[in-house]
Amino acid sequence: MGRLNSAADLENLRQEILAKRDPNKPCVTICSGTGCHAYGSEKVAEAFVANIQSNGLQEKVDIRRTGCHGFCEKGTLVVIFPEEICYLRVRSDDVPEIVSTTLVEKKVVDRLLYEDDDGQKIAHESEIPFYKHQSRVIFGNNRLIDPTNIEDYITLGGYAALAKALLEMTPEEVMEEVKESNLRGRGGGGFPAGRKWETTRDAPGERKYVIVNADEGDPGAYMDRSLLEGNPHSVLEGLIIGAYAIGSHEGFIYVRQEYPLAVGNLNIALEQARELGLLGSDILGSGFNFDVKIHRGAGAFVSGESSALMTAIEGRVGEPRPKYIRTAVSGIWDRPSNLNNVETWANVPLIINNGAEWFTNIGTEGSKGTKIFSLVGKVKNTGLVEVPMGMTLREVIYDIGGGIPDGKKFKAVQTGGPSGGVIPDKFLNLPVDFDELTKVGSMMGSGGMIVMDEDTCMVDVARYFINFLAGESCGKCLPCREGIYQMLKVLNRICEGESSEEDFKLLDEIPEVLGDSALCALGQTACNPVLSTLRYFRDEYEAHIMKKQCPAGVCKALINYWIEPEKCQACMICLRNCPVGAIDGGKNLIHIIDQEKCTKCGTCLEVCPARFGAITVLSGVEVPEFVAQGTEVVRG
Amino acid sequence: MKPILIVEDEAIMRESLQDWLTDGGYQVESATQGDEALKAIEEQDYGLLILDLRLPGADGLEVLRKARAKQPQLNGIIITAYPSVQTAVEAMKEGVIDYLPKPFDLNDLEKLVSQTLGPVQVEIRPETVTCVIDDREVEVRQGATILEAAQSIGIDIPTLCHHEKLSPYGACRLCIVEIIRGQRSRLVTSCVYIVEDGLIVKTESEQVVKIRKMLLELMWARAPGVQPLVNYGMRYGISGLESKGNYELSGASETKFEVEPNFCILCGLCVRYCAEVKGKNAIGFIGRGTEREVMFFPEIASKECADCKECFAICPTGALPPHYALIEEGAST
Ligand SMILES: Cc1cc2nc3c(=O)[nH]c(=O)nc-3n(C[C@H](O)[C@H](O)[C@H](O)COP(=O)(O)O)c2cc1C
Ligand code: SF4
Ligand code: FES
Ligand code: FES
Repeated sequence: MGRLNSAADLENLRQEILAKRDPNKPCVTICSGTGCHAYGSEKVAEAFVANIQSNGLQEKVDIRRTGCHGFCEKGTLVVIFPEEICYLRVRSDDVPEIVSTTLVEKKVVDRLLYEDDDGQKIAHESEIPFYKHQSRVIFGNNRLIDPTNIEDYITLGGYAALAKALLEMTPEEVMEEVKESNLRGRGGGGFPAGRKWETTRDAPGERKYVIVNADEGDPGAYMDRSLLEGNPHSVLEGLIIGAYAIGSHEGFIYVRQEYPLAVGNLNIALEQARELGLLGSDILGSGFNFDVKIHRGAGAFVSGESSALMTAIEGRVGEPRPKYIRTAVSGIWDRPSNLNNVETWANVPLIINNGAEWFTNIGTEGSKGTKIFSLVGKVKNTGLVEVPMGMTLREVIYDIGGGIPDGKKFKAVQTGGPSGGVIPDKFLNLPVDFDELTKVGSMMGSGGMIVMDEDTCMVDVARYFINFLAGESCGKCLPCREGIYQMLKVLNRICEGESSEEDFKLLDEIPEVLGDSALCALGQTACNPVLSTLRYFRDEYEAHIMKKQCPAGVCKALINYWIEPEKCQACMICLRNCPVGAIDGGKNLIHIIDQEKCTKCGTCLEVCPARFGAITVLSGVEVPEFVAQGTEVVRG
Repeated sequence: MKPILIVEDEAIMRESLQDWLTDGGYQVESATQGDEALKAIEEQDYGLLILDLRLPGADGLEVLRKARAKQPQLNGIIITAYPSVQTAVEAMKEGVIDYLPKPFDLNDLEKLVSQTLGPVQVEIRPETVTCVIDDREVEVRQGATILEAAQSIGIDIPTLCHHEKLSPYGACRLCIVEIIRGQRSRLVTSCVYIVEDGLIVKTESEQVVKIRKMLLELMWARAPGVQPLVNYGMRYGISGLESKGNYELSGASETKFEVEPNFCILCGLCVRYCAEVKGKNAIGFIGRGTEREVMFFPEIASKECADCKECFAICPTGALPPHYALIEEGAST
């Protein structure tokens, strides 16, 4: 492949590649994203290579390793084109059968298909409920692309938006299009991207930078990683277009250290793009020069904050800076620097290709386009899902996520990452967009969505996030460092039954002071988990503080496990499994838990056969004492 | 004054030169390669080129020669890690101002720069801005912080991490004030916030005082009884903070937060003093969150600190001697 010097060159290359490819030729795509990789996707891929060869099919079948498809929980995922037959949980032992049945006999392997709640098997990927209700405009190409092969991206129309922008549009026109699309930042704040670009373009100074934020510090989120790993060119193309609009010739991609596969695939992508003249000097013969460096970040949560990230790129310790001048005007080395999130950049080529109007047709009044969420927690189908802005929480959780497993009740969903908030069931019909989430006291954040069922203690949830943030505060400014720490101490007291009503005052005061005085947004928003759980679940706080009771039966210090004498069948299972030997009893004798010895590990509850259900979690009440040791069971 | 262009492929050298000279008040741009430099010269006039001799693609002298085709009076300084008589002579013939073998003292370079371009004219901005602080009108130079403006009329805003000789840090947040623009008010740290014309500032509004009180109490939990906290405690009437004796007598705190002292409030004065005034970086921070602490770096501290210890005096809590003792112990074992 030679350098491309015009839009025609790019189109010719695309046609050449297409001519080489037969759309009806079977292609086995094996998800090699991080999730599936952990399930052994490489072994599966190798097995396909070997089996296809031993069946003499190597000329007749293509094999493609792709990035994440989103349904990681069911990995390794294999999709066979052109029929789009989707196999779940594929292991290398399954491969010979897939090859002989599907590739040779053209039949499906039933046992590897998705099975819905009624036991119906579903063969086609697009009919699986998890996928059916999504709109995968950004993420969908992941499954069609080998991220290490730029040809795959180009066949799908990749870099056509770049050609259009550079060769047919002025920077001002590109800027206008993005502004009109009302694309808002996907990394947290939802700030309009076009307006930020404009600020950087208009800021004084010749040298300007554009930056991709791929720090992804939110522990539950991995969409940025999956995009970078699975479709790095889409992010790169967006970045180059942005640079053109802004008038920047240098870019940085800030990737956390812990994402080696993303860095690897990015490096390959950059190299291939340079080779084709899509990056570097005189891109596509347009006269526009632009190049990118990858910066590997230390991977702390706060490093994703804009001023901290830019300080790190300068080669100094990545701590937030106390400035009242925006990084868009004065960022890296005090030069205008435009920072956007991975997913934000990936939206740009689509907007240029299809026009702002197409984009604004998706979504709600204030939030356009789609958003990728990381759907996890107590929900049947977990993974990465992309939906149009404005889809209701109920649709995401029930239609895509398949609802709450084990017949439990939905309690709340936490959105927005560590400093987001919880949303209770009365808001299940809330359309998910930037503004609606903020209205109910949570936020979009980077798109984390953790579903919680009735067995979740909301004080414990707040404590979990505050504990995370206490460890992630950089420690520079006092209110964040000491305030979060004190907040954690309050929550620990509450969960351990050692708090008093005085603590209610601190629950109000600390967040107020932190919100007003912390240096960066980490500290300013750190108390959100407390504020939002207090807002909707104040009764749980009251139960913990006043009645020393944990209604969900989670906080160890406030619960007791107790064997209901009428239900105990003296089966000895709990007795044998208790790791500290806290259960008394014997054959035909009702079992009793010695509360002094019990460490509240919950093993007995887990092992007690469901048909007996003899173990009860008590909280806020005395443990009944009316069975004497050595009482025989009554079998009804 | 025309800007300086640094042409150097080695990133660390380039950025440090650029930072140094920018701090010196010069306008500085940089390029990594010869052709990039020539392009920049094409677009604008420079007062001085600082050129690395060995550059990818071209050498520094060649760049200078080509640049002079456009701008004949252009001055050049050559820097090189590979000095040789031959290149030195060649450079002198080309009429460069100097030929500096690396490593060189940045102060020497700055002297050369100032001889060539003339001293930096401290930009006298005649413009001033006017703001209203606590109902009093103040006129200050443009670029002044709220804190400076307040100090100029004798209003005392509490600070703990600010020092006029050191770069602003914004970490203790004690200097927080309320600013009002139109209908909206906002809280900002006055040691960092630059005054704009027409700004209205309240340095002791109800909310400001409430925040300061809690910040002081949070600090007290780490550094109970230290003098500046006692002083502020008295000023704001925070029970439990008015007297050092109280804490020392009872060993307990009557404040909101349990006392877990380490006597460092992480104001960063010592760290900035050592880096910015002494240029030694013998002390720095390690750790995150409440694990963060100051630490003398043994390799540097064992050489530099014995005769200096100036940071001890700048520390508001007197926390440094025990930290430094670790270095002395290390040296004696
Ligand atoms: C503590 C903290 C952590 C952040 N982490 C990230 C991150 O991991 N990724 C990201 O894109 N933005 C992160 N942000 C938001 C960035 O500061 C910035 O707003 C964003 O990258 C801008 O891009 P966008 O407008 O495209 O969203 C973080 C902000 C804070 C305060
Ligand atoms: S708010 Fe927290 S993370 Fe941000 S600067 Fe302050 S200490 Fe660091
Ligand atoms: S990694 Fe395979 S589906 Fe996500
Ligand atoms: S004095 Fe301003 S933040 Fe410390």
